[in-house]
Amino acid sequence: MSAKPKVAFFEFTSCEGCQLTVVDSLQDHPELLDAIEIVNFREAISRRDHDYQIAFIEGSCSRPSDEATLKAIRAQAGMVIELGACAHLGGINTIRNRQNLDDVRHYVYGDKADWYETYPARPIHAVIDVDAAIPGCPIDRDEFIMAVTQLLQGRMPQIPDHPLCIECKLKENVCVYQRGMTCLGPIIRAGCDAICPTYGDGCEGCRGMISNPNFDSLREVLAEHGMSEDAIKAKLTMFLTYQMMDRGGIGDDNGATNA
Amino acid sequence: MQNGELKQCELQIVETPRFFEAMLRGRPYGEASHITSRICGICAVGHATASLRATEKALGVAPSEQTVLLRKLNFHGEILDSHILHTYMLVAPDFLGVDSVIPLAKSAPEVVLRALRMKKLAGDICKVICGRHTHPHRDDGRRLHALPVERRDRRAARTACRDAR
Repeated sequence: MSAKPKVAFFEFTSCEGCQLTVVDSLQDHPELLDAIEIVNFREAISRRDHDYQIAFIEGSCSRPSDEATLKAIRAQAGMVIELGACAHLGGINTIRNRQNLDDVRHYVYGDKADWYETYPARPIHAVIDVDAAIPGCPIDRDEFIMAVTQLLQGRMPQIPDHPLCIECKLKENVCVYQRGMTCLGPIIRAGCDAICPTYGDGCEGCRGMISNPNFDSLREVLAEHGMSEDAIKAKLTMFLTYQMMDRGGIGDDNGATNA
Repeated sequence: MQNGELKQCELQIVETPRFFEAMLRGRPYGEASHITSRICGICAVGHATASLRATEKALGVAPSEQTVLLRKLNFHGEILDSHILHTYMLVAPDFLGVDSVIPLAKSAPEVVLRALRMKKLAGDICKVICGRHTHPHRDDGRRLHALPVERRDRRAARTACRDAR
């Protein structure tokens, strides 16, 4: 590749932590700036350039007026990549999708609710076609660098599609179930180096489900470990609301289930 | 700016409404700090800790002195990280006549490398205590699941101090 590829970063509904992780990845890999030309990065650069080949999109789409911006990005970029759980899964923004949206708006903004445009949050691929996703909340620094390396080599990012449990065992962690806690590891995509179990929490599912999750067994195991139906539902709707609603496995918050 | 006089000022609020207050309703209290840390990836520790304090107040429990001290140390890590981001990556380019930190890495590499070294130290302080700065683990109001006394933490702390010198 002769000229450096031009890369743009965009954020929609998100905490911008994935873009911060990109900045932090420079700590160990400052050479990244020699390999790509960053032309758009609102968090750190004032310059705006709309000539780019690769677009990384952080955040969910949560208002109709953002759809036009997303379509313009799709029209410009040869490669569109979802960056992090909000873009990839809808992330925690979708927790409110199970609630009455009008009630949500008035609960927070009262009689000013109309000032703030919104609709149910969705992942980016629900609005435009995307070519790949880098999962996680936030993304993993090393996985991001690896994905960029693979793109520069003309390959698609290789994201694991096996359960987190495998990675967690390789780290020789004591299973969090053995420590009296619960974990979504059996159905969630590996690749984060099992960071939550390693630091003492159960997996919350931010990287999304593997392509063939054994869902019924997981529910059984969670119930065996003393979780009520409500607690299981909460666990499965922190990062996974959009996927769960999509597969018809969870109802709205008024108690109606369509399982 | 023209001749020291302000000609044009723009205010852009690009963020969408997030509705955290509504999203938290009816969810397990143990999730609250993990959800609210997602308000902002730059000051995630601050949001998570504020939420933990609210949860603890609601439950009428007081954290141990050890937990309070570890949380304070964690805060220092985040404040250091945030100030380096602001001073070196956002403000320094203006003073040094370039439009962002990226050309600065070419024109004044020693400034940028120093910033990255210090940012790594700040991040490592948080890492030792709560796994990562964006978004913290370990502390969910019920207990600190694990203390930073394991061998890998001591090793991380030593490496961080060595790298910062």
